[in-house]
Amino acid sequence: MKNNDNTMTFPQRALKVAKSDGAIKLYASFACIFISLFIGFIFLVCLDPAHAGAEFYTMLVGGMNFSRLAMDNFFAILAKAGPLLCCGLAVLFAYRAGMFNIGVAGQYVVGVFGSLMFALQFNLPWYVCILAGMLFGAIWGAIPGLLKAFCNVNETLAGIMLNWIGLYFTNYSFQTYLSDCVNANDGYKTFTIASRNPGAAIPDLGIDVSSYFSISIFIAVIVAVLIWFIMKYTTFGYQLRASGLNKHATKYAGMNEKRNIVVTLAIAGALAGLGASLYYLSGLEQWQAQWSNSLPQVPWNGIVVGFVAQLNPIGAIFASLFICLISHGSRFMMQIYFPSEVADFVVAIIVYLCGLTNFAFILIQKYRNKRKHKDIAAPPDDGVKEEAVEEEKVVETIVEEKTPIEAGEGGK
Amino acid sequence: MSEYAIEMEHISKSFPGIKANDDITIGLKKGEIHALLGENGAGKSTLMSVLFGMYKPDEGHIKINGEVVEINGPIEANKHGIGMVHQHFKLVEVFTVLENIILGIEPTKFKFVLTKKEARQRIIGLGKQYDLEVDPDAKIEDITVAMQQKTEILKMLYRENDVLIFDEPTAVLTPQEIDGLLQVMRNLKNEGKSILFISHKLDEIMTVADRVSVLRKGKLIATKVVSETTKEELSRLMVGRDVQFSVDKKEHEFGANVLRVRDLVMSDKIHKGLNKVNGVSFSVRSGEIVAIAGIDGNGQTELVYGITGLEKIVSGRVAFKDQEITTKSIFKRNALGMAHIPEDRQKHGLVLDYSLENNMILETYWKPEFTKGKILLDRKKIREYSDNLIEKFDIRSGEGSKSIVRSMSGGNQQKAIVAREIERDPDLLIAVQPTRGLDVGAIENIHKYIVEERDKGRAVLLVSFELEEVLDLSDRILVMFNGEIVGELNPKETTPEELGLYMAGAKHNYEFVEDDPIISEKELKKEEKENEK
Amino acid sequence: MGDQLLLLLSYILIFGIALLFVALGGMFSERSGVINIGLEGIMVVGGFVGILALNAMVEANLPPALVVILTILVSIAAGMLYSLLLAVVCINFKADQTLTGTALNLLATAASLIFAKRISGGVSTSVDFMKDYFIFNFGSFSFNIFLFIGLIILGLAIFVLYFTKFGLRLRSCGENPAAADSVGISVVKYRYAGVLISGALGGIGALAYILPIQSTWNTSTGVSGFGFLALAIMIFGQWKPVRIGIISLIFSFFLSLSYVYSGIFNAWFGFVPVAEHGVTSELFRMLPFIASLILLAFTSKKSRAPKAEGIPYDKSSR
Repeated sequence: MKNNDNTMTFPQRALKVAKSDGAIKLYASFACIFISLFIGFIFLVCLDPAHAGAEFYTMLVGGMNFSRLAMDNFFAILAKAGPLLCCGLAVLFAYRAGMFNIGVAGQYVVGVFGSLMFALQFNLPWYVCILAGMLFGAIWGAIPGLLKAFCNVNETLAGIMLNWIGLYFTNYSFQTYLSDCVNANDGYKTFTIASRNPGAAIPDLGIDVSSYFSISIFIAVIVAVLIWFIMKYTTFGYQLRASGLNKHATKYAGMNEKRNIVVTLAIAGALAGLGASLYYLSGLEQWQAQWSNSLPQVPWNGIVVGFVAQLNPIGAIFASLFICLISHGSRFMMQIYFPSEVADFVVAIIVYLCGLTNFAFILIQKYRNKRKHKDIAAPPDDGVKEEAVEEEKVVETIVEEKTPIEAGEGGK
Repeated sequence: MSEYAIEMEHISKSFPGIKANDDITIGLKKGEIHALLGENGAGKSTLMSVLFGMYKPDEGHIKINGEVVEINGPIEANKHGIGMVHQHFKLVEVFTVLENIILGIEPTKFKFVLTKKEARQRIIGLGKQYDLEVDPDAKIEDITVAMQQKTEILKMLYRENDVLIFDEPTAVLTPQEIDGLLQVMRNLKNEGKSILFISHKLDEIMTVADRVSVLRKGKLIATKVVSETTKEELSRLMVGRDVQFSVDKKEHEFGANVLRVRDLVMSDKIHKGLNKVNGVSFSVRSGEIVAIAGIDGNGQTELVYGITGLEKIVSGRVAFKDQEITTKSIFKRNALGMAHIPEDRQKHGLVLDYSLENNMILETYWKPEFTKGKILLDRKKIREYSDNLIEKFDIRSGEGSKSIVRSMSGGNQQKAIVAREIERDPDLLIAVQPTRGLDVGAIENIHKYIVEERDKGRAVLLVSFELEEVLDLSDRILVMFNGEIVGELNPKETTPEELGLYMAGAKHNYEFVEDDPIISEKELKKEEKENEK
Repeated sequence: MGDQLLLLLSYILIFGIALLFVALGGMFSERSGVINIGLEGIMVVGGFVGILALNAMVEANLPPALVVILTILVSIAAGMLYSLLLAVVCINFKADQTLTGTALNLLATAASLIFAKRISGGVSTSVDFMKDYFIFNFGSFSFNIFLFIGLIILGLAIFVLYFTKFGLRLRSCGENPAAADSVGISVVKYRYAGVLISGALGGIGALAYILPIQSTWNTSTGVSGFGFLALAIMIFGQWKPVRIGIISLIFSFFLSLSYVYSGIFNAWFGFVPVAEHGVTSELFRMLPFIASLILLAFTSKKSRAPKAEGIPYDKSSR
C-alpha cells in the first residue's frame, strides 16, 4: 500500500498535489476572496450602478499603478503590508496552538506605546524602539496567557478586556507623563519621528526610491519565514501545533501545557508589538492620543490575514499584500461615489466567510476520508468496524448523546 | 390485550464487519422486572438503540402492547410510554429538581407562564407513592447522585411512562443507595410498571429481577426465570467458552517490584463526592504481566490515570522502580521509562492531524537523538526512526512516514502507538485495552509484542475487559469491582466462570499484604538521620 | 454643586440604561449558548438604521409619537436582521463564534461609514438628527424615553427568563443542550431566539446611547467600545438580569465620570484636575474593564457562566 513518489508520473503527482489538504485550503481562501469581491461589487451596484464597474476596477488595480511617477503606490502598499503581516502572524501563531488571540488589538496598542515612548521620549535608535514595542506587546500577550494557564480564564474574554485597558492606558500615558511626545498644535497627535528623532525611523538603507520605502516589509517577511520555521522545525513549534490539534494528546505526552500557553501568547503579543512599531516608526501615521474612541484597524485586519492565509505564515505574506492592495486602491476611487471604506467592507465579508469555509473544509475532509476508507479493506478509524465492536462506546454517544460539554472548557 | 408490554422480535443489526445483534427476540411482560445481562460489547446497547429508534434494525420488528410499531427516535419512544434512566444523567445542573422534571412538557398559564404549583404537588405525590422523595426545589448540583437518579426516574413517571429502562443504574451508587433503588424498582413493579434492567451485576439481578435474558457476542443465549437459575449458571452463560488464543510464554522468575501502588484513591469526575477508585494497592514485578480484569467503568480507567499522572490523585502513593512518583509530572514519568498504551487512542494516544512520523516521537521529540542543539528537530533522523518502526511493526498507511494518521485504519493507528511505546524500551508498559476493535491478526501481533516485553524482563500492567485476553496473557490477575480490587487469581488455576463471579461483584476476597512499602527520599533521609543519632 | 451632581446623575441614567439594554441582550444570547462578540457591530447597525429612519420620518412630518415608536421598531428590526448573520453561521454551520462576531463588528463599521459618507456627499462621516421627541424635560432635569423602556425591559427580562416556559427552555439550551434535546426541545430554535433577542436589544440600546446626549453621531467612532463594555457588565453581573441592572449603573457611573469629572471635582474639592495632575477621562474608563478582568481571574472556577456557551451543539458528536 506504500506509495513511492518516484514511481508516479507527473500528472499523477500533480493530481495528488491538487487534491491535497493544503490545496483545498488554498481553493477555500480563493473562493472566499472571490465571493467577497463579488458581494462587494453587488453592493456597489446597488449603491450606484452607473459608477460601480469603473470604481470597483479602480479599487482592485488602482494600487497597481507602478509607473515611474507612481512608485509611491507600490512602496506604500509594501510599507502597510509589513505591520499588517505581523498582526496576522500574531493571530495565526496563537490559533495554531488552539487559542483565539482577539487581544491582538490591545497588544498592538501597547506596542505603539512602547515604541513611541522609546523613540520620542528617550530618543533611542529604531532597533531599540522596535524591541521596546515587542516587549510591551509580549507583556500584554502574556497576561491572558497567565490567566488562562493558572486561573482558567477564557483567553478571548481576557483579551477583550485588555484591548480597552491597553487603549486607555496608552492614551492616558501620552496625555500625562509622556505628554512631551504629543504635539498640541497638531490635534494632539504624537510628533513625527522625522521631526523629533530621525534615528528612530525604520531605515531605508540609503535607497531613495520613495518616501514610503523602508526595510520594514523585509523585517516582516523575515519574521514570517521565521515563524514558519519555528512551527515546522523546532521542538517548541512541534509542541505548539500538537496542543492546537489535540490538547489531550499533549498532556498524555507530558508536554508542559501551561508554559506553552504563556510563551505562545507572549510571542503573539510580541509580533503584534512589532507590527505596531513598524507602522508608527516608518511614519505612515501619527498616533492620536486624545480621543480614545476606537481601537486601530490594523490588528483587526490582522485577524483577517491570519484566517485568509488558512493559518499559514507564508500564506499570510500574500494575504496581507492583497488586503493592502485593495485598501490602498480604494483610495483612488472617486470618493463622492464610493468612500475608501468599501475595501474594509470587502475585507469584513472575507473574514465572515472564513468561518464558513473552515466548516466546508471539514466537510470535504470527512467526505474524502469516508471514500478513502471504502477503498482500503482495513477497518477505518472513526467508522465502521470499530463502531460495532466498541458498541458500548457508540451507545454512550447515541443513546446518551454525549456532548462536548462534558469535556468542554471549564468556562471563565 | 397482550401479555407483553414490549416485544422485540428477531432483531438483527449489522455494522460493516460485525453483527451487533443477531436474531434477538426478547419480550418484556407487563409488570415484570426483566434483566438484560451481558459483557461489554455483547449487544445490549445496540438493542436499546434499536428500541429507541436510533438505529433501524436490518431485520425484525418491535411490538408495543401487541401491536407492531415504528419508532423513529427517543421522543417518539417516549410517546409510546417508554422511558430510560441513563447512566449519565441528562439533567441541567443549575435547575431545580422540579424544573428538570417539567422541562419539555411545562405546565403553563396562557401557554407561556410557568405554573409550578400543580407540578410540585404531582411530584410530591409521585414521590410518596413510589418512595422517591426528593425536594422539588433543591438544585441538582446540590443533591447527591442517588437523588439525581430519583429525579430521572420521577421525570419518566411524570411523563406517565409505563415501561422504564434502567441502563446500569447501580454503577454510580453506594451499596446503601443500591438497596434503596432496588426497593424503588420493586415499588414501581407493584404499581404495574414494566422494567427492563440492564446490568452486569449478578447479585442485583438475583435480588430484584423476575426474568433475565443473557446476551453474548450479539446473540441471545437464553432467557431464564430468575428463581429457577443460579449465579453460577448465569455467569457461565454470560462469559461462555471461546476459542483460546495460543500465546507462547516462557516460565521464568519474576524480578523486583517495578510499580508499587498503595491505597490509591481517585475521585469521580461526573459524580461529585464519590470516588471512582477506592484504596487500591498492588505491585507489579519485572518480567511479570499483571492483568486488571473487570467490567468497564469499575475504576480501571481512573486507576491508570492515577498511575500515569493524567489525573491528580486524591490520596495514596505510587512508586516506580525505586522512586516515589506520586506527584511527579507526566514528563518525568515518561522520562523514567513508563510507557502507556492509552485506552482512548484517538483522544490521548495520537495527534490525528499530524503525520505518522510526528506521532512516533510524541513523547521523545526532545531527546538528543531527534534534535539538533536541543531546539531544532532533526527531520532526517525522525524519518529514519519512523521508517524503521513502520518496517518493524508492519504499520500500513498510504504514504509511509508522511501519512496523516487520521487517514489510517484503526488497527494501524493502534499498531503505531504500540510500536512507539515499545520502541521507547520502557521498564513498565501500561497497556489499556490494547486490542480493542482490532481484527484477529492484529490482536495476535500485539499480544506477541506484549509477551516479548515480558520475556525481556519488563513489567507489564494490562487492563482489559476481554476475559480471553486476560487469561491468556497474564501471569497474575487482579479483578476490579466498584473501585476496589476484589480478587487476585492465578490464570492457570482459575476459570472464566470464577472470574465472571468476581467481575460481577458476587465474590470478594482480596487482602493486600504490604511487603515493600514506599519510602520517599525525604523519609529515607529522615530515617538515616535518626539512625545516626 | 447641585447642578454638577444632577448632570452626573443624568449621564449615569443615560449610559446606564443604554448599557442595560445591550448587556441584557448579551445575556440572552449567552444564556442560549452563543457568545455574541458582535454586539458592538449590532449596535452600530441598529443605531445607524434607526437614525436614518428617524430623519426620514421627521422630514415627512409624521406625528412625534409615531416617529418615536417607529424609530425604535426600525432599530430593533435592523439589529435582529444583522444578528441573524451571526446566528446562521454559528448555529447552523458551527463556525467560530469569536471570529464571526469580529467579522460582524468590522462589517458594521465599514458599512456605516460608507453610507454616512454617501449621504453627506463624501465629505463627512457624521449624521445629524433631531432628538427632541425622545427627551422630556422636568425643570432642569431631562428624562429620555429609553429610561422607561429600559425599566420595562429589565422587568420583562426577569419575567421571561425565570417565569416562562420560553426562559426555562432557553436556559436549558445554554446549560446542557443534550438534556434539552433529550426532552424534545429544539436547541437550534432557542439559540436563534437568544441571538435574535440580543440583536433587538442591541438595536434599541444603540439608540439609547446615541440619541440623548448629542444631536450628531460620528460613525467613524462607532459606539466606542460600548458593546464590549456591555459584555463586561454581563460577566460582572454573572448572567443575571437584576445584577446586570445594578452593575450597569455602577459601570455607567465610571463612564459618566469620564465625561464630567472636572466639573464634579471643581464643585466638591474646588480644583479642576487636568492631565498634569495625572487625571484624565481614560482613567475612569479603564476601571470597569480592569475590574472585570480581576473578577474573571478570581471567579473563573466557580463562574456562573452558562456551561455550554461558545460550544456549537452537535447531535452526533462524541
